[in-house]
Amino acid sequence: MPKRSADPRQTPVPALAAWIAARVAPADDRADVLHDLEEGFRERNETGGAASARAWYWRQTIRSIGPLLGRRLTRPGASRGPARMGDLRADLRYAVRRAARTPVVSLAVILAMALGIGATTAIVSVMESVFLEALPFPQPERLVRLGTSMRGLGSAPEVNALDARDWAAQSRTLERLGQFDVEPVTVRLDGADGPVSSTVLFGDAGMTGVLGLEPMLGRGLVRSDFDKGAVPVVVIGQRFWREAFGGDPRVVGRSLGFGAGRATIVGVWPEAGDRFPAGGVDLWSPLTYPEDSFLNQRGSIALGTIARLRAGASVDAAAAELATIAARLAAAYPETNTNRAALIDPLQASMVGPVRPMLIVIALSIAAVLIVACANIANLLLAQTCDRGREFALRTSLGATRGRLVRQLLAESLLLYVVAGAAGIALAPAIARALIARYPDALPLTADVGIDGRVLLIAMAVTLAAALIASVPRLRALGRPSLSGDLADGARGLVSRTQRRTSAALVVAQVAVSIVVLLGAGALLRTFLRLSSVATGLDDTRVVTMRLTLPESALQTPDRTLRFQDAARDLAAALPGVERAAHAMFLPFAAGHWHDGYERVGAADVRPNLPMADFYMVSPEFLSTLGIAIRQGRGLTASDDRGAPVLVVSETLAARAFPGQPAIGKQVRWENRTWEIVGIAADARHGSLWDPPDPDVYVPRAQVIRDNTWLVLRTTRPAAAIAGELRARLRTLDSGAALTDVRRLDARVAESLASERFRALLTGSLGSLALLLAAVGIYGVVSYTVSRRTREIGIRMALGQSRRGVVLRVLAGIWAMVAGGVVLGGAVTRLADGVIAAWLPGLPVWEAGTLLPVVAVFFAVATLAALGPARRASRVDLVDALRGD
Amino acid sequence: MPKGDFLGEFEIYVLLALSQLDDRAYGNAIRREIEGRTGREIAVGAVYATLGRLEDKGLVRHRLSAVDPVPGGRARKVFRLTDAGGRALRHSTTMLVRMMGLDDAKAIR
Repeated sequence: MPKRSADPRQTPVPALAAWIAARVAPADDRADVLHDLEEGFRERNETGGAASARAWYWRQTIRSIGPLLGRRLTRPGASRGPARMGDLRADLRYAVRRAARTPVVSLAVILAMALGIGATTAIVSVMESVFLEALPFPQPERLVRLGTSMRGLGSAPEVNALDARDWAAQSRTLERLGQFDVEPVTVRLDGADGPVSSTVLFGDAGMTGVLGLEPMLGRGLVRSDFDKGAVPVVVIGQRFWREAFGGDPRVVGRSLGFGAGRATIVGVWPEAGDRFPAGGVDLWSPLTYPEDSFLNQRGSIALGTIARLRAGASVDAAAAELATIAARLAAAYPETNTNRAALIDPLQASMVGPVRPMLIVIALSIAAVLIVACANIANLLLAQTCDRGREFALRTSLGATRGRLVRQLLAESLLLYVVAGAAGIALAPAIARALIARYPDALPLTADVGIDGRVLLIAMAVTLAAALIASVPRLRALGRPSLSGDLADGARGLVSRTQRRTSAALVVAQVAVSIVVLLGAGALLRTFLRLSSVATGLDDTRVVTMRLTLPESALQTPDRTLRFQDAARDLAAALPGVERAAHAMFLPFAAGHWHDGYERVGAADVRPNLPMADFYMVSPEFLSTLGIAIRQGRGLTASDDRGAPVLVVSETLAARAFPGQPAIGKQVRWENRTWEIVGIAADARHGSLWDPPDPDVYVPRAQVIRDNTWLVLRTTRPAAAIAGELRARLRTLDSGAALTDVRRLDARVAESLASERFRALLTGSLGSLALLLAAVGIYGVVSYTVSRRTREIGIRMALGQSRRGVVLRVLAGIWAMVAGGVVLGGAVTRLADGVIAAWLPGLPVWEAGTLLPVVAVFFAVATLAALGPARRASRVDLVDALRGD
Repeated sequence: MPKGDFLGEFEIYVLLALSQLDDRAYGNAIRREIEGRTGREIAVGAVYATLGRLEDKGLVRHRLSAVDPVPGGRARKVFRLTDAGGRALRHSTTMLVRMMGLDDAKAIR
């Protein structure tokens, strides 16, 4: 402002010129410039008159504009103008001091932002790597997995070989189709100590073409490999090549012991080969089977099937086309295909499970977590502003411009944001690593999980926006006309009604959103738990399983094979702490099964339309070792190994094959022999907890001898110890025997849920994050606002209210806010349940079991947060309370 | 003074005026000194801008004067040459003198 002379007799300086001079002068020269101008003006006024003085003043002002402005622009550390680093530093210093004065609020804001940025980024990054990263094959989006659904009987991830041939021949949307079967095979490497067990993909001629796999060394499987009498060949996978051959490039052309025979290594797959099927296989070998194999019966559904869509064809188009082809096949083969339909899924989705529902849940959860984080930040900063009105009024009256205060507020938000952003960026990889550490081996995973830069940017931008939006009410407060009002308000420590309402609304919103997220996460968790608790029909808790690789000597004749298997079982049974031992060709929840068709004697079962079952070749102790109960008739005994062939079947088979009739005593034909059913066993799940139990058949091992061997031991001792002792004993029989893949049975069952467990972990993490953020936010806001009510509480006490009454009154207000949030969140969830159910069948989100603990946590946190300050305030001396802070 | 950093004409005027005024170098005094000797009207703003620049270079320094003993009186900036300012002034004038073909003895009386 222009300085006017105190003496009214003197002519005033030209006001406009003085104003201009004051605007252009640097702050620390302003007073001197104006003083000098006024002094010169007065001199001229006395000597040359007012007009001359005014002319001089204007001239001086105009000629000063250039130098002064130039000075301001070029001056280092100028207080106005483009270079404001000095001021920014001062603002930040002040912001640090302010942040330190309210540590709870500052830490809560920083924590909310850091978690919002770090955790969401980590979780999304992990999800992308695990569930969305494209498979390393050419045009992976064109790869599909085919399966079969059987009306009323569930579905299978496999396809009948004849059906597949028809689909491939008639389809215009499928370019190529391949079928495969994964089986364990014993492999003997020349010069190695003993045999090793390996997983082998037996693929038909179409397989490599579908995937587009090119061998890294040698060649892949070619047509002639599938000819009758062709030399057995294998292509080895990258991992097996490194582990078994040390990555030797001269491996092509060498041979290895393969099952009972030998096979020539003709090539090595690149790393991509290990990405299919999930978990990878060690070797690929041609899939061949005789004309009369069960695989060539329409009834069998046993081969994994993948296909490559023609360019431009969509999965939906292929599904529609396959539906019409399946209908045609149902008309042609009513006996087997009447209830059969084709299933088609993108290969990626088939390997990691349905991605879409999870994506929806995760995306909603992430959005909700960010909303909670932002509501937190806004609320905390807003609460903090409550007592800033006085400070700002004071600063304004001391000459601070509005722009100056805006800068100060932004600097404060910026400071918290920078600290939180840095913490978030540092947190993200750590959280991602922690999640990956829990990642199940059974799922496909790319080499490393990188932090997704885009997600990080989005999270940071959203959080920054929240910090800035939170400043808006504070900035608006600066524009208020009444400084005296603010000064007085501040002095009384009162919180304005608008601020209190906004704050309460934010708490309510925060609680509501958290409730929705947590109910969603709880629903996913329940799905997982429900699957975990599905009865397998097996008593898997004290069962140790392991693969037995037979020595060369045991493979010469079936007799020797069986003798070695029995001897190994007897050694195991004799170990201390082992209650029972059995051996079997296949094992529940382990690789390999024998899916086959059979004829019911007396029924019109004719090839190729046969009823199907899973066949388990087992030693007599198998059922009792696994705890599978006999429901009717008898179990298998040692005497069944020789003599008339008998079988035990599962309840599902009995009900399905012989509806309304007693199954015991019935005869079936299988493997060119006639078997009599002597017992019915309880149903047991053997592979998937999702699907209903399959029809099973238990066959005395001695009747159908195969070298593939699993040992099953019922024991309370640790698996590793048992395996170690058994290895030592086996060596006394033959040093060529090997025990591998030693696992408890319950671990195998759990592994079949690996994907579900990991999802539950991810969504559970998000839910916990939302809960944590909401709790932190509620704690910060509540403890702060209550601590601001010291004076009010003092007055209430002075007016005669009891301490208890006052504290209860404060708590009641807080509880009302939380209750409002719970009701709102619950209502939203109830409304959303119908919508969500459409996307996620079988996921009822609304559940008291999840809701109640969450609500309890919110109330506990809010009460804790309010109780401390409220009680402190109620003890404060009235005079102190009224005097102010 | 850094080599190659020549003083401008007006800067030399201000420094010279300062060297004449000793402890009385208020902005207005400097302006009057230059006006009196050059006969030209000098802008107040130009004087302060130049003083600020010279102060950044370390050639002048200011302190705040005692408060004027009048109602509403206030402290004002009083400028003086620093040692570096004296050296720079001598250097610049010597160079000017040499460039004019005069000898040092005549120039610095």
